[in-house]
Amino acid sequence: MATFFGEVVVAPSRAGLDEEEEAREETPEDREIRREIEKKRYRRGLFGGDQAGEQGKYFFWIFAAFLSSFILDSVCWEVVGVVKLWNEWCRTSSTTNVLPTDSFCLFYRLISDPTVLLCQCSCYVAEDQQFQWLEKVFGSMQKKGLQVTILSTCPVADYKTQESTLTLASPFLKALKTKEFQDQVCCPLLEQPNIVRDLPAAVLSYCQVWQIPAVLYQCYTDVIKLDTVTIEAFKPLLSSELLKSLAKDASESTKVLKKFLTSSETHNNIYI
Amino acid sequence: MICFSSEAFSGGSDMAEPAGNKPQLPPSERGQRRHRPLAAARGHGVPALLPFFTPSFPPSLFPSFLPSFLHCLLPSSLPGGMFIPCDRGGGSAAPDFKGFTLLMPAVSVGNVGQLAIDLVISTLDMPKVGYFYTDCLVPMVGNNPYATAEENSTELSINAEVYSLPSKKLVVLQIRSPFIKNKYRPFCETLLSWVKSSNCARVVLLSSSHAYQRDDEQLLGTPLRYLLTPDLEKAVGGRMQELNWKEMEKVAAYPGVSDTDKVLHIPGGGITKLLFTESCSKGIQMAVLLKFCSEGDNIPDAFVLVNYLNEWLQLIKTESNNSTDASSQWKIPSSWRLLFGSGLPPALF
Repeated sequence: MATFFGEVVVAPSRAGLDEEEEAREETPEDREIRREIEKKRYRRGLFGGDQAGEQGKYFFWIFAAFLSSFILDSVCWEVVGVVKLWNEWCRTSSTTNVLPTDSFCLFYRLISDPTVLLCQCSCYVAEDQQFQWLEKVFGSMQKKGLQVTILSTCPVADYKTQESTLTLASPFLKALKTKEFQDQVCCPLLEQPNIVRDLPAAVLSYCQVWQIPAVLYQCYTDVIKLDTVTIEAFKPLLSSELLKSLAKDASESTKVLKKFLTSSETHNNIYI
Repeated sequence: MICFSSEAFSGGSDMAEPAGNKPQLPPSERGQRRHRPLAAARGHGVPALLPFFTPSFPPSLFPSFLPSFLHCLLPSSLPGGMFIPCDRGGGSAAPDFKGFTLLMPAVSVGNVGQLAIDLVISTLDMPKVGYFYTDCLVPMVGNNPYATAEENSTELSINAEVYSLPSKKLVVLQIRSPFIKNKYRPFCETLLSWVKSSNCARVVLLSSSHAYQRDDEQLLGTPLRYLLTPDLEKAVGGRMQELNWKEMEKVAAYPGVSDTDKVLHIPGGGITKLLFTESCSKGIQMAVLLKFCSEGDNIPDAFVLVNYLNEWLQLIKTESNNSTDASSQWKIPSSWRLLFGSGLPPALF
């Protein structure tokens, strides 16, 4: 591939493994550095969720921060665990002194029904950390009777369809479920050739392999910042069997939602 | 029931284990408990890059959270990966692959190997028998890529799945996502130890290599090449001669300086070279079939490669040796739709 200036640049190949990478022998120093980085990345895994294993019947998980306004409420939920991890996206470089503003995956438990566990994942889990994240989180849980619900969002541009994505009315919801999930799904299933990546995919893969009933609701949206329209796309879920009992009064939630949005605004502006 | 207050977990101290009420093991013993089965699962003396996560709950509690069958499977699933049969709960034993041929792709330039494997699975209508659960591949999920009707379209598919057809003694591993950086080696090690433990007779790796990096010799004639490990060479070397196939040429290690040192060079081939050289040294019967190609619409390349494979293994019957005849017999999976993205916005025109 040639650029405007005439130099030849190598196009990144899907093969992934570069010839130089393959050929270059790792020096002991390289190895030491890599090991240190790996230690830094993996040692922060921290989850105190073993109490969940005792009587777990239904757990569900929330990845999108969105439903905070509809479901999460400090009166009804208590924090029972946290997964902290460090990667290059974290604001702090220190692995021992984590800033209070650092984001983690927080685990909440419903006070009135301790079998319901909720995970709010507000940090970026890197590709090489996802597997360990799963082992960590699911490793400390009773699998029997476990049911998992995952909520996530992604850009509508990632959605493949016969027509142009510009003409699609976004946001919209699509679902994927594991073989064991027998309940009603509240929206259409995701059609081929569409796929889901990252942590939601990792969790769903884990559930499929280990035969845990799980469903993923993926919201396709055209906004980067959170907005009420996108969050409302998840509203059909509130009618589902599992969420019905947990949802708060919708009228009140709008208020909380507004507050939530203003607090997240500063994070979304790289110029501040 | 044990109740933990939120402070116990969000305090940020290093590995804040719930202290006090449970006996703690000394660190050395703790490490061993968790790591010994991992090292054993690899089947090598190679030390894993562990520890990853130190368990934050006392390991003495660990077994009690898991149903018995999961407990024996889970810890060994950590390094590299493992084969997990689909219907484990149904009481049926793991499928037997003794004497089978394992067909798999290398994630390589143009994804030609993966596309060719898709054609094989789709055409032979191979049933899924399990997953290759691994931490070496980027996670991805989607619905059944080989759906033929509404009913079978909602089966979930993950990044590495195993299909089998006992009537043809064929087992196919499809890989659907790229490797995570620095995870090629553990993947190859685990894969080859699975090949050994599952008693597969031989491995056929479908791959590709950058067309623009061919040398003068490789530019001539067919763009298809093969490689055989010494153990397979003995068995099928003659057949390759009959088919008039071309072996992948070795290239000079120091071009222009010395032409005597020759090395195997597969640019853009991903794990191909690593897997092949490892198989040579481990005495595994492996064949690599590859095509020189460039990134782009690689569907024609996939057809050429799968026809090449078919010349040897005769997976589907062809009346003549004409490759266009054979191409029409391969069934394109439904997931190949929209390979180049969605429709265009009408406002463009």
